[in-house]
Amino acid sequence: MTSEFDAIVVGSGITGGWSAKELTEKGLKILMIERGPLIEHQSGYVNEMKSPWEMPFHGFGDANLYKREYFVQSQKRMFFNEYTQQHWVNDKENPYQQAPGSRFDWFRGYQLGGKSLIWGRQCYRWSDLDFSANGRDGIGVDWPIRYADVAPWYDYVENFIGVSGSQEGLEVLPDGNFLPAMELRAAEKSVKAVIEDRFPGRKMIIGRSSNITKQVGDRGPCQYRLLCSRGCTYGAYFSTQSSTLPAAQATGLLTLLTDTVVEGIDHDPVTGRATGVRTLNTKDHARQRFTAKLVVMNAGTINTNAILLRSQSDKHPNGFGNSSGMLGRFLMDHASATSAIGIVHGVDDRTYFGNRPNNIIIPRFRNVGEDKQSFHRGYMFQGAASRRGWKRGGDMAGLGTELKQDLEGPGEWQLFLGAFAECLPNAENRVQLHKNKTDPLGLSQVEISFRYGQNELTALKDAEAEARRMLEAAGCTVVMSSAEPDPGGSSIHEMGGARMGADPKQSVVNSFNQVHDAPNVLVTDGAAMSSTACQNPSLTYMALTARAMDHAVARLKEHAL
Amino acid sequence: MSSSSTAGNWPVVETRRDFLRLAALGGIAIAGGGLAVVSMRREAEVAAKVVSPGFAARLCDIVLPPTGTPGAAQAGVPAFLPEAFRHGLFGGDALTLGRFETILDTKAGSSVFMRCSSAKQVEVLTALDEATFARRAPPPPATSAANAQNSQPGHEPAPAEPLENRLWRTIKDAIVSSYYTTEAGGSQELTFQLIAGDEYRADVQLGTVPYLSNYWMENVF
Repeated sequence: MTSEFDAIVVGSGITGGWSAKELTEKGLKILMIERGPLIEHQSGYVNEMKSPWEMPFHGFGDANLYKREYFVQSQKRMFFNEYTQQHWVNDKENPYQQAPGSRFDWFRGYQLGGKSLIWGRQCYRWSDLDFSANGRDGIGVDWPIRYADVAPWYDYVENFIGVSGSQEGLEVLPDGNFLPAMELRAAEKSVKAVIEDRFPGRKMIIGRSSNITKQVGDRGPCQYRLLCSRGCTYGAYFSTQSSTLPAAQATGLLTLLTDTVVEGIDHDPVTGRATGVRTLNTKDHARQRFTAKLVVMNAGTINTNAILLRSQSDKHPNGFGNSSGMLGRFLMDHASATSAIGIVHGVDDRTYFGNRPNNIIIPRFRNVGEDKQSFHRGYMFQGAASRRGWKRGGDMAGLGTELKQDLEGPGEWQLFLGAFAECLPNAENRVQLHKNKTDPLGLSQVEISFRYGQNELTALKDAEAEARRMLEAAGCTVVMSSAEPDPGGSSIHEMGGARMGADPKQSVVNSFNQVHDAPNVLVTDGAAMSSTACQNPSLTYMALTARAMDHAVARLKEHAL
Repeated sequence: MSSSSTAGNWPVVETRRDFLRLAALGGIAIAGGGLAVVSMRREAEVAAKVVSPGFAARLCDIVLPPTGTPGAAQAGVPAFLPEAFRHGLFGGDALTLGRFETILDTKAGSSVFMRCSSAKQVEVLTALDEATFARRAPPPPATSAANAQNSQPGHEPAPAEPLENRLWRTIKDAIVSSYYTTEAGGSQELTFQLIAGDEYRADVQLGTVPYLSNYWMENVF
């Protein structure tokens, strides 16, 4: 295998796939490096079609094994289970450290496709309210871009991946080029009507999802199975395997290297610019070097930070591209909480058939327009209404034939509202390399310091109160509410560490995701984010990646990179 | 210091010395194979007896009996339960069934539970079932709901649920969850359809579509 390429893409997840697609389609010879094993589209989804009785533990998995070896990952119960556990890392084999007094649950998928196989598939544009927030509030560094810079790339990405959703005309949540929206369930329709009538400016709408409702290229429409995290043979949601990888491979310009971790970035000692990467095979521990004109960091927010921090040299003494001292700092993750759960009345004669892989949302309404709150920014609700299943039989009185008959049909309707609150950038929330602990490969372990601030806690309190108000207005019986934030990392929307900004002294990458100190290194995953908004970030990662690749290739062609 | 006492009417062991003494008196068996071990937790623990043959099957029959379709016992749940508990599923452990049988023996009156009449067994379990589910289960301590509850000013944590209720919640949930994920429970008693496809409906009249066992989110698996 040759060791010389036009560009090296580190990571194969949502952004790695996009980088590889864009660069190969523009004629570059690419090496994509993935630290985990190969998982082939379709044939690699080993548990996709299995029934519970075909699984050793009926799909629930070995709980003792999870406690011993998947103690972080197994907390994501709707995504992590016996069918999908091979798509998540073994925590015991992949240790990291949490700074004393702080907690950050780091959810990871080390395999070809990364977390694109297991993500929540929600796709939202950010608005100018979001891109201008840091500059307006004076918190964090101002984004050097605005919605108009990204909008064409949102179009571009949506047209390729397919996003189902409804046109709403909301300033806080710009519309896109959507496939037909999924329909709401009866209880959602009922609560929506009340919210939109009684709470002016608020809407409950179906989620915008990369589960496609019509054929897109070779990819078939969603079959309403909700087996997404097992892998989808139909290609009915966006993943590297279903979407970007086939496009990149079709060019004949992609070389894929799995089971290989990037130790660090090599660079020219005089200019400081990258010359390639050095790697370590995770199976035989063989070391290799690869060279390229361009290196794209798409290893996932925390691992991208770790690789840059590990790439120390005389030229980059504090980590690659860290002349600002900002690298690793301003780690963020949406503050999440289950704001409220209510029993919905009056629709017990309605039900549904099949598993909808989507949710409802109530877009941000705080600090929008005339609304002014004591906290900065805002939050959005995501949730769903469903009828309790047979599981309720284990949580209610009753035995025998009567119990069995009770469970022949659905239970009561419940609607839950979970909040994602914007997380303000805080320099003390950061990724560092632990001074003496190493992982089984001998690489320095990551140490994460993370705490939510008062702004996030206040926003979640407001979210709990508003969730209760809306559910109660809709006649629901609220059975639970909370403002207690889930542990940091729980949203799996980790962002920051190599933030974007115009000033090289205050940021790590410029407006086209180029490292200020070495413009032939691009950071286009979550590490480059300067704020979190309250929307799911993946669509923005994709748009920024496509935009950055377009710019980089143009510069390469001009011999200016 | 050690002490032994009774809680309810069943033997309680609070130290390892008591456990061994009880074992010597024949109250429990200790042998290889994990037959009976009592953990040294602070709370009063119930000795786990060697699970009687047919005990798990009897519980399954009482909870979900055969009707027009196989019940939990015929569906293979009795064989699955001990294996599931050994691996920590449903919050159980290797001692769950043995401890619960000890408790039921004390409730059975003059005889042990498995030698009681069917009617008496149902009576004992029905009383425990009603008492257990008369109140909601305390939220697991790791949830945000529990954290929020515990952080309320002046909040005093609720006393731990009595062991007999806790064990019954665990076992009943395990029987129900195991049954509806067997082929008999999942696809004969209810309908199992992995692919909804064109038949998918978001909002329909109740009774016009089959009720699926594979509603993943609704059943949290």
